[in-house]
Amino acid sequence: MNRDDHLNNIAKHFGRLTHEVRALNAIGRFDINSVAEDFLVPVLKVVFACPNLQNQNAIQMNFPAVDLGCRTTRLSFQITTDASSAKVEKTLKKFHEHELDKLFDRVYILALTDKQSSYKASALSLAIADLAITFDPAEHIIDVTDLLARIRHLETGELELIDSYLSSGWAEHDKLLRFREQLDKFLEFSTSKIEHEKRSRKYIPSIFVETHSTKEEVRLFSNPLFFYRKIQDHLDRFDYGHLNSLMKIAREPEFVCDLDRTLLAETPSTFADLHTWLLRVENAVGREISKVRPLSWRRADGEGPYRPINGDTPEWEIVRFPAESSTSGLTSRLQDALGMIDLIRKKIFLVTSMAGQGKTNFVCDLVENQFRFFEIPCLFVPARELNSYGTGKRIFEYISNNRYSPNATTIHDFLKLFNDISLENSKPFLIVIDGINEVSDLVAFNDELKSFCSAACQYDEIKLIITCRSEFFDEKYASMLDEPFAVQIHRVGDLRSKMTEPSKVRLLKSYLSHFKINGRFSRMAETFLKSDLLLLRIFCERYENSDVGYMADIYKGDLFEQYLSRKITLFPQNLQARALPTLYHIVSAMLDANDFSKLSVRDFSAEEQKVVRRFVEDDVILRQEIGVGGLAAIGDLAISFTYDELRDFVIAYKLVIGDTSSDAQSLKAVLPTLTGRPIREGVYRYAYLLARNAKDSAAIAACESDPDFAEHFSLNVHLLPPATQTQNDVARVKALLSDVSAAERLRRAAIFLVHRHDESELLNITLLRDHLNGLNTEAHATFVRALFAHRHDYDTHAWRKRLHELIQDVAEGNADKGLERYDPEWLAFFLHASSHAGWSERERVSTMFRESISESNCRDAIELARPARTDAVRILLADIEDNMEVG
Amino acid sequence: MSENDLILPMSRIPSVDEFLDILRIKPMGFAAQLFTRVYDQFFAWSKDLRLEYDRYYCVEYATLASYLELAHEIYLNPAQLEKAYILKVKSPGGALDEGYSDNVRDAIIDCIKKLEESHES
Repeated sequence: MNRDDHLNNIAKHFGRLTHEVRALNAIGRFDINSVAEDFLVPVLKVVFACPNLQNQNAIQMNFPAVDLGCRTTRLSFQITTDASSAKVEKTLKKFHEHELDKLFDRVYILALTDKQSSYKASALSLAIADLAITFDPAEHIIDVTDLLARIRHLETGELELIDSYLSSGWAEHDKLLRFREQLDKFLEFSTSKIEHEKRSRKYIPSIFVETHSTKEEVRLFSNPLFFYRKIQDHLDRFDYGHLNSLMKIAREPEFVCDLDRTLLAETPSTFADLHTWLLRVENAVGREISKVRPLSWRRADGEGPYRPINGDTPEWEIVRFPAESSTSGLTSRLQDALGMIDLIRKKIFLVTSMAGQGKTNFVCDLVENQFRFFEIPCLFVPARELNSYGTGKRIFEYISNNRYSPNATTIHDFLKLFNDISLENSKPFLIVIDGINEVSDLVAFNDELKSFCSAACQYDEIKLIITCRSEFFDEKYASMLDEPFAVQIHRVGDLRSKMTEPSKVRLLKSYLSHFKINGRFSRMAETFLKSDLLLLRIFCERYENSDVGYMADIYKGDLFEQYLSRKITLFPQNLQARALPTLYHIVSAMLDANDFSKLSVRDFSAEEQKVVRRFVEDDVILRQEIGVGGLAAIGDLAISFTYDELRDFVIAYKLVIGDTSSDAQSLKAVLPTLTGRPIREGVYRYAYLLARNAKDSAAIAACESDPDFAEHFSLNVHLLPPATQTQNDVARVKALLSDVSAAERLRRAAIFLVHRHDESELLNITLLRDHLNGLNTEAHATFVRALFAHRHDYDTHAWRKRLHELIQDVAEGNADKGLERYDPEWLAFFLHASSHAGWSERERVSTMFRESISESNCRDAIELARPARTDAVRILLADIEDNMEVG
Repeated sequence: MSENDLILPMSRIPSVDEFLDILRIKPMGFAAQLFTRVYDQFFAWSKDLRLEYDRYYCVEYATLASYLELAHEIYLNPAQLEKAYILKVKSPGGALDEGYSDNVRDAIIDCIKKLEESHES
């Protein structure tokens, strides 16, 4: 290429620059101007022979008056699309005000569009006159035409350099532009994976309780140019006012806060600005910490304590403790600010937590509700999908397998593009890899992941969010923490959040609404569902899109059976028949190995392994566990039951329903071996319930002959569906109520009956009322005491305190409705129990009844309790009725 | 939200003088010093969740109520949600610490409610 070719090319490149600047400015996109500043640096370096020319904002945020400067040749440039006299005047005034002549001997105004034909405004002349440097508008206000004129005088080698730079710059720009056009589709395809997570029920929006603190951390990590203001808010009210009032009392020197409020109020708008700002704030905060920490309880190792000037005075003794407390609080506040700064700088956000804590829900919610609303570019990778790609290049191939993906031959091609996008948007580019424990070859993937993290950390604005089950991370991925990039990792080790009662209610409502389940639930059924999230999930999947009517109770055995049945019918036809036998195979192998927490399915048939993988994908019935390491691990799959009770149900189902013998041989063989095993209680429970439901007399007899049958019966009586209850059960419950020596069983039976108000069922609250009515004074007192006592009570009056709490709850809960809301049978029980309360609580009960005596339920309750043999109840009833008559 | 945290929906922030006055505390005395710190806990150092919502969270949460419920587990009735300030006082300490039997937390809250009611009436 000859000299003319280079000149023509350069002219074309500049023509394009001018055109794009005009076009974008016309639609209000002035951000192109700041991009042009950097774009022009290499050209101006050659044209003006200033090799150290650089963007001044890189040195100091919001550098005044000029955009580019070379401290060696003392040249500076203001790049602008507005070359009016007024703009030039303003620039020169600022140049003067900030005494930039100390740094630069010359300032050029470079207009990206045409400059004026002349600059004769008097205000401009005055501004020029004030300058300590020479400024000639004809010479120092230049536009692209002037620039090209200068370029024509350059050596051919220099022309070649500029041509080459501009060509590659535009090529890069065009590539980015093409990719930008595809980007939305590319990212849309990636985040569409979220929809798949929804369909597979791995992510159910709005049904989890946020872990607010972790989500807050992600905000700072993933959207720093928006949330950095949290640091400002945090430090905004920082002062030593209270501390100094104490120091004054002790006649100690007061603390002076040097936190610069103008620094805190700055508004960085680019990553470069932000990082500079963070560094300055970090230094300022560090200086304050060094002042207060010596007096605090948070001294660093080796840090000397605060030395009071008047340390031996009584005043110091008085203020020392509150001053230490105050400085500890201030130190903590400052350290929190440093923590936020550190978090913004981190590159990898690693969430490791136990199974079932909602990691997938957490990250899907972030992608859907946080990154999407803030338009943060994000690539979502469900790690189990990486299993479809070649070892060592899974992530690269996963990203490539997107029809809108840019051409890339290495992972760095992608990362560089992502980083450019991020810089352009002033938002990090996030890559979310969810559930790395679900990648099949963990050892190989560990190496790949480390190398990917190492690559990603080389790009300033690419950030990773990775989730993993903690036991898998500790076992398989922990070596990541020894890598050089480990300092860039922020690890969160627990996603659990304690739910308040209103949140549980919200959760239940959200679940039912999400699964489109209509119906009404008794308080008992509602409590049952709210207290066990996995059970709630199973319930919802079982009853999805249905109206359950009124649900007085939920029977787990029935629920498990129906749930399994529903799940299995969703399998492909050829696997349906294999599903239950495969579950039987699993539990048999667990029983043989006496290990119920993990099982390798290596020896299972190919078809069985398919069934297992389908269950594992669902994650509700089976889940993957860490297998043995080394060579033996290759191709192996270790599993466990997600829900222990479901496992026990399957074992029981196999022993009772799966047994083809007529005399319950399997059950008889296994029951005696259960002692000491973790499955004992659950297997017995479901075996007995299944046997009762199936009216399998041999199996029933096997269970009832167990030496601990009474204990098992008291534990499981509440699970017996009404249709299976018999007179034998009534007799057993009565026996439990009569045996005060077995107080735990007595309590279980009584509490069960208290909640059973349906008299069409054999086992209901009238059994309890009849029992109480039949007790003499002493036996009645013993019974009530046993009912409210706890096995480990130290305080002998603890039972009575609980009784008083019950009375208080009845009196204060829904106080405006009085006793109207209670069933007469329950109120009769309440009268029996309250008759052993303290004097004032009995008075309270008496008053409540008198106030509600017009209600039929109260009058009925009194009549139900009237046959009581005990004096305590008779006295209480007399008190209610006598005072009524007086009243 | 920690169970020790306190939520105060307020239509306006009272001045220190009003606060001391409703507590029948004379200004300038030792009690005034002590209860100015209490005032600070309630009104100077607390976090206004409405402001936080407007400043940071309105992009992510469609309504203030959903922000309070999902992010803070705070459930307010419609009248409370209309208040100009929703102050979150994090684990109030000192004279407000419920760990001490002689704390005055409830008494102070009652007085603040009176102030609020007097403003609204």
